[in-house]
Amino acid sequence: MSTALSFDELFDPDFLNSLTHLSITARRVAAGGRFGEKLSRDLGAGVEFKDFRSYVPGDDLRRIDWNIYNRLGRVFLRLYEEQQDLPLYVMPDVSASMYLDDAVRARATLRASLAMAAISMNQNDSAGLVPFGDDVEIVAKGHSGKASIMRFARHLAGLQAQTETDLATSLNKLNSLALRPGLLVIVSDFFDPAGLQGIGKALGRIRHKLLLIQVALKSDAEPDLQGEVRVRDCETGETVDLAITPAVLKRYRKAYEDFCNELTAMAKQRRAGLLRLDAEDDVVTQLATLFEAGSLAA
Amino acid sequence: MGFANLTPLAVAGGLAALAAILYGLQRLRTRFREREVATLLFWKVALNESPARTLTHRFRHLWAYLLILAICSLLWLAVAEPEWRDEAQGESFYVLLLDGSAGMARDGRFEAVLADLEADLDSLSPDRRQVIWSGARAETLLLPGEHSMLLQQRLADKQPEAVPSSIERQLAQLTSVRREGLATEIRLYGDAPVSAALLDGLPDGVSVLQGSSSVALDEGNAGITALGVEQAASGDWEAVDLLLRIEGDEAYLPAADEIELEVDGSPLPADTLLADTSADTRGRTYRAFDLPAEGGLLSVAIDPRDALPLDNRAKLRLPRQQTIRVQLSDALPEIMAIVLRADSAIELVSSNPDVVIRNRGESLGGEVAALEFVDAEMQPQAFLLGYPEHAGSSDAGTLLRDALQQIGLDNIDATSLAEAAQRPVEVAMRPDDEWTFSIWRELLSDEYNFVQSRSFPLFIAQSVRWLAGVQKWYPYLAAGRPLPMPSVGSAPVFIDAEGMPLDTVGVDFVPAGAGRLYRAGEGEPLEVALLDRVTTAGGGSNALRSDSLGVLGGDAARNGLLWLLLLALTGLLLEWWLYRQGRMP
Repeated sequence: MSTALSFDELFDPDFLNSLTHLSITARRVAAGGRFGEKLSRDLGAGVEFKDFRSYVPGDDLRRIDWNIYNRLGRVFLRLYEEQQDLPLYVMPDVSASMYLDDAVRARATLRASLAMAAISMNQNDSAGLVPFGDDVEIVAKGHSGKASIMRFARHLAGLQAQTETDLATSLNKLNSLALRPGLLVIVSDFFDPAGLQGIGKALGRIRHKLLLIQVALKSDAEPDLQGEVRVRDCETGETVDLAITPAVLKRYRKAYEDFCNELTAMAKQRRAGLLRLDAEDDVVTQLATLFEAGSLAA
Repeated sequence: MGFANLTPLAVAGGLAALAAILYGLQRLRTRFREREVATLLFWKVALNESPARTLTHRFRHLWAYLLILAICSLLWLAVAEPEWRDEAQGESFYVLLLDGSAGMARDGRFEAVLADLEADLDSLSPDRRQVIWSGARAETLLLPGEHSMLLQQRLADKQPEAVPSSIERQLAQLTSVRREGLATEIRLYGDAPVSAALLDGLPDGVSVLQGSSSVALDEGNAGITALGVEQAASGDWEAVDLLLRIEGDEAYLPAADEIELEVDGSPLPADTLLADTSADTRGRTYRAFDLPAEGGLLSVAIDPRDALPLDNRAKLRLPRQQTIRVQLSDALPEIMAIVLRADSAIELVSSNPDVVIRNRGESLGGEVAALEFVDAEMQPQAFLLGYPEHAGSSDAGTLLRDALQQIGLDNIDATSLAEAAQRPVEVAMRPDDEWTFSIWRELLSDEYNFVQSRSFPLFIAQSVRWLAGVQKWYPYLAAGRPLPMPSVGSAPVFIDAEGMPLDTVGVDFVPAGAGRLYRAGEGEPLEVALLDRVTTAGGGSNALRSDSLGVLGGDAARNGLLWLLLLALTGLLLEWWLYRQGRMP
């Protein structure tokens, strides 16, 4: 099992070119509002008038409303609404499960992460990279502008696989970092041994807006196992002996369907967006489709 | 209970092996293939309801194991073909003797008997039964342990043969066979009679039963029971007289002119046969006189519309009798010529003889077979036989034995001869250029009184016949009956219809079916006829066996094969259903 993916393996020229198209698509959709758009609580040098306040020494003299001064003889400053960028925090899952079976899932995860970051950076928003596995760390922060896309990509290519998935702990740790509120995009299979309940609680404490991207394989729903099989969890090393029968497969499919439903319910409860990407299909195409369908307008 | 194809030990061993193999498979099935997966979350949920087998819990699916073991055992037992039979059968070996004699050729009789045999066969353990065909020859149709289906194949070309019943002969042999710890029960399938004497003399542990049901003969029959020839009473050496005997129901007895008589395919005149006029309630006797003894094939046929066709025809090879041309030396006593002229088989000639009679040293007749008289001083043996070295494959001993028998030297009073000659009388045989017979000339003198004896003409006649190569012939050949006289000359070589020689060692009867060709030495083909009064009269009416033989009761054999297969199929369906339901790993 590979533990890292090189830059060339991850981001070929075609993929990088496709990001431009995705950005354009995203910009077109953002006419009604970017997915990261949010009004700031600060009042300052914007273009939309908001209020007046009394002048204090040090204020910008260009904002003094001279008409009021002429009528009332007092100095007031015109206050305008200031629009700030919404920081994007991309949390790709780099646990061992993402790198299983030729790292198909990891490749899709990292490509989706770059795509989301590219959209944000193309709109002059900042993007940060916070990969997680059994722990979380901030690898990059505050990247903004088109020029930063490649730098962000290189950060992604430099990520190493971790062992287990512990998303709840990672979210709690992220929460303790007191990052500026923004949009937190979690790209993962969400196969946390602790289950979705722990993740849901941790998400409840997150102050950011949430977007969950579930990266799935077709074999997640339809495993190609048969006969007598000893399955080993690639993260925990735990094994289970199976005698695969149609009935067992039927129960497996039911369990996976319940898992997906629970994930959907959790996202809805946390007012988070939820996307499902097929790791074996082109990520950009899927994202573009989702953008055009309005799935990312939340 | 027994098994058709396997011994109980083999069945038990097979079941044990199956159990062991399935047990091993159960263990093998717990050796999982390993696969790495992203998570066990969903498998654990699925597994909670259907835990897998493991080595340490190998009998967690004991019922599954027992089910598959039951299915395999049923199939194994089906292969072994269990058969249930009466307890009484357990200690016996069964010999099923099928009568293939001519009497079975009555309409439908053979098929009915065969059906009885096959029905009984299914009820017997294959290891303890065998089937023997009793026709012209005894032949084992089914050995112990062989599958009964083979019988159909081996009976495909079997039909009743034109031979009398050999059942009693077979019984005599079969009852002499002892099987350790097993009684022998011989079941007869046919209508051949069995004598009460034979049944009374059965050894302990041997019983004889009638296997087939008897039927009443509702059709009349007449058949040829005797056909033979003898030297013509008229004295004609080249002719024979014929005797024909036909017995049976009065309505079927033919008149003399209704009998078809042919020699080499040419019909003889209707008045050839003359019927005896003597009162005879059992049949009629016919005679024909002075038939040419030229080695022709005589065929006799009567009306075939009676119950049994096989006794309506008979054939006989007529002897070949030719006058022997003899040239006699003038130097010999006149008595020789008188004796020779009195013999109708001999013609005295002055040239081209078959045999020459002369003194040794004479050149009369050239190099032909010769009866020579020689001075006793020149020949130590009183009788010296010479044979050409190209005289067949027989050795000198055999030739000498045959010559002594044919000439009659074995009956000569050698003691009185030796006393008269004051020296030992010897007989010897040596290789020579031609067949020769050298005798002391002194025997012709009055001193020995040989010429005056009544045996002298016979001696000369036999000597000439031996030198001329005249073979004795059989007046008749009846299938399954003893030879009418001891074999003379070279032992007869019997050859079957395919030309293969029959082993006649120790056989003192004609081991042939009627209508087949058999050759005796280098002579003409011989014909064997049925000529069996018992067969013609209908063996089923013989009273001897009615009290002696019991009728084998029908045995309702329960063949479990079908049930075993049905149970196995049910088991398989059950396993499939359980598997589909997820209750079967």
